[in-house]
Order: sequence, then C-alpha cells, then structure tokens
Amino acid sequence: MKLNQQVIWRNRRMNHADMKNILKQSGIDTRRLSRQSLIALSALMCLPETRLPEQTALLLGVSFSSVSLMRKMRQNVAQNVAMPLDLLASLHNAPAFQAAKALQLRVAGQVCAVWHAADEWQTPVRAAQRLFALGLAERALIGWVYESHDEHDEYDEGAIWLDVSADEAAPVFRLPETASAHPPLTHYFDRVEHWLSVWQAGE
Amino acid sequence: MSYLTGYFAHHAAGRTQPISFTFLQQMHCLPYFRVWPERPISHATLQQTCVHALQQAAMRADWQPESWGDVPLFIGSTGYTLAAYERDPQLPSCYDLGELAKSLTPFGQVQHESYATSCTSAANALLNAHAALMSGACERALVLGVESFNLLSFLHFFSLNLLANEYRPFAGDGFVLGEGVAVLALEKTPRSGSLKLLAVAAHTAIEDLARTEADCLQRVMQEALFRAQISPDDIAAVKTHGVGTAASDEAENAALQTLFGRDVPRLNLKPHIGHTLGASGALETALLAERSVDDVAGSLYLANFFGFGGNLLSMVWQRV
Repeated sequence: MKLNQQVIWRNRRMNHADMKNILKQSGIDTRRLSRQSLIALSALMCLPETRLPEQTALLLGVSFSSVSLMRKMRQNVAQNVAMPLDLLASLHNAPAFQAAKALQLRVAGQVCAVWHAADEWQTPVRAAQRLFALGLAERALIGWVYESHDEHDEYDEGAIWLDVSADEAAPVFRLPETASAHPPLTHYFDRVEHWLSVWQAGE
Repeated sequence: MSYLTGYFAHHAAGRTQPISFTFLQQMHCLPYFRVWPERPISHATLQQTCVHALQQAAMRADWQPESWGDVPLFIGSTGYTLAAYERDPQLPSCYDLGELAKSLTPFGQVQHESYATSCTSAANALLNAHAALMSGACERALVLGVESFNLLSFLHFFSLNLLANEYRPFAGDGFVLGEGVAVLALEKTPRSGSLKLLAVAAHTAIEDLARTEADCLQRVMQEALFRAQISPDDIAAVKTHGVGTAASDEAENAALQTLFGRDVPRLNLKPHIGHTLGASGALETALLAERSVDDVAGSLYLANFFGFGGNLLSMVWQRV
C-alpha cells in the first residue's frame, strides 16, 4: 500500500456557519448536512489533490453518527415529532456519501465503527486492504472522523483522510498486532498519527 | 472462495398475531415485529439473542466450541443499540457504535468489526468476511446482522411517507419495517450442500442519497456477473432488493429487464420478514440458503442489497 497524500484536520473548533461558508466556496451544497458531515468534508477539501479516479473506494471510521443531530432527533421523538430530512442527514454513512459525491467516487463505500480504545482504528485500513486484495479497488480514501459530544469532551473533533494506492512495489506496512504495541495514546486520531509516523519513517 | 456452511436466522416469518400500536391518534400495524416480546428491547436481551444466534450458527457449521473465540466477527446493523437507548433515557454513556460488538465478549471474539452503511450494513459485513477469507487472513468468519424496533427509525420513516400497511414488492409503494437477527458461518473449505460465494461487486451511486437510478443498479449487477465469469443466462434466480417503494422497485425492475432480457425468477424475500434494514444482508442471505436448499447443485443466484447513501452490492452465489 502506498500513501499518496494525507490531511490531518483536528481541533479546529469551527462552527457550522464557518464550515458551510468554506465548503460553499468549493461548490458543495451544504444544505441539510450534519455537523459530522461538515467536519468530514471540511477536512477532505484540504487534501492537496481532490481530483481522484472515480474508481477510488472510500472507507470511513466513525465513533457514531452525528451526536448533535442524534440528540436533537431523540428529543423530538420524545415529543412525537419527526423531521423527515433529519433521518437522511443522520445516517451513519451520510458523511461517506457526501464525501464520495464531492469527489465523484463511484466504487465501494464503507463506514465502520472505531473507538478510542484498543485497535478499532485499524478497521478502515483493513477494509481498504481487503478491497485491494479482492480487486474491487486500486485506490482508496481512508478516513476517520470524530464529532465532539459537548464542550467538555476530552477528545478533540476533526477528521483525518489518507489517499492510498494498492502498490505491490511499495514497502509492505504491517498494522500493529496488539494495542500494547502503542504508546499510551487516547484518541483514535493519536493512534492513526502514530501509525503514519512509523509508516513514513520506514518508507 | 467462501462457503456458507452454517446459518441461524430469527425473524418474523411464521409467527403469531401482528402487533399494533397507536401513534398520532392513528393505529399502526407492525406485522413483522414479533421476534422479541419487549419493545424496545433491552441491551441484555439484544446481547443474549446475538450470542445465542452466534452459537447456533457455529454449531450448525459443526465448529468445535473451543475454536469459536478465534473466528473474526463482522457485524452489520443500522440501529445497533438504539432501542436500548430509548428504553433507558440515561443511555448512552458514550456514543460508541461498536458497543454491541464489545458486549458479545461472552462468545469470546478477539476480532470484531461493526459496519453501518444503512440497509447494506450486514451485506458490507459479509463482503468483508468474504474478503478476509479470500485474502487468507482467516479460515473461518462469522457475520451477524441484527435489527430491532426503535421508535426513532419508525417515526422518521413514517414522516418520510415511506411506510405501507402491506408488503407488495414491485407492485406497491412503501415498505413495512421488520426486525430479526441472523448469523452466517463462512469458511474456506468446501462442503456439500453449502452455498459458495463466487463474486461480489460494490458501488456507490452519488446522484442522490435516497434514490438510485436503474443504470447504476444495472452496472453493479453486471460487474458481479463479470467477476463470477458467468452470463445473465446462467442465473437461476435473483434475490431482489425489492424494498417496496415504487421509485426504487421501478429502477431495480428496469435494471433487471435490461440486464437479463427475460423474466428471470425472483426471490422477493421482504414480504416474509419485513424490511430488516441493516440486518437484511444476513437475514436475506440465510433465507436464500434456506429456500434454495433443494435446488440442483451448481444453481447460480444473484443477490442484490441496496441502501441509502447510494450503497449498492451484488453477490453471486452457487449451490454446491
């Protein structure tokens, strides 16, 4: 697997309006997007090169769907109120769809659970490697996104995107086998960044 | 290749009386919500049901209990533990989509992955299990699909005007929600009477989050057939997505007509169990295995799984 480009976009503390304004400048329709989708897209549009082959797969790790939107929906449901378009915006895979749409990517798109503990951050990497092995894609965007739960959340929000290729000639990078192989890291962004630094040092 | 050597499915088919409840002064019939006696179900009930299903599928595949913990588990759902959150307003303590997977530790899984791609969640879990087997990462894999009633999904599908009172794929306009759990036991070793997964194709239709055009559906089916190195004429039956909404069914119907050029036999499974959303990839694959068990060896099936977010998967299965 070869790393083509990357973006690490974390702890920006941007409000909805600012993110929407920036995304609109990239031609993205920001209506009805959840905060989680806005974060994923804001990071994505910071990639140095956003013109990728349409056969690029997209694998996204999320801790949950948009927490702020889910809270609002639960409050509405408690009062027997449902906003039709909230369901579509709150889908776990809505950020992946919006990212694929923004970059015009048309092959496999997967969203998987990641959490700060253990090795769950590896799941989207494994999924990308499997798509390469099956021949379903030769290039992939691997992402992680996190939306803060509230202002006291110890984990900073943001997103990381890696653009990788199935390159047999590139050095094989193995994922760490156990959590103990890591220094004491907390956020899954830290684990991804640590992995990236090891990977890049070895290349 | 991957072989489906054991499965267990717990769904509404063949069960007793439908359940009704009143919402917004209207009586709503829930004919497919008969799997669990409580609604919404507790986390403990969900966990127990999943562990039971895992054990049953592993036993039916003749796997020795001491080996179960080494088998990677791939999960697909849309609601995951949402029902438990509705039951207990204090939940969740943390918003962790992988919470269900971690609570299945009584089954002993060291490796688990949870997928959430709307109605294709379990189908994507199945794709990853198949790919893990094909790449040699494991010799066996388990796929769990689970969905239970939650008010949030029901109310929002209702508000989107997507629900119907009766399930009539390709002849109505709306779907009827369902619930259930299914586990698929897959392995690399061929076994007589099993189903072999020959090929998978996975696409994203980016035109609309909630609606996919016929040409996109045709392309994903066509690629699955191409990867399996077979022609449309070889297919004995298609397990349709057949979700029930007019626009979606019309697109799938047009794609099938164009691709096959004939009235290929269809397995429309949702009227038997309801639309089980993220679990349908596992539940409907289990039903496909059940309904094709008496077919001659070599019979080929195309199975479609489509979902919101433009997520499209087609799989080619063969009776061994």
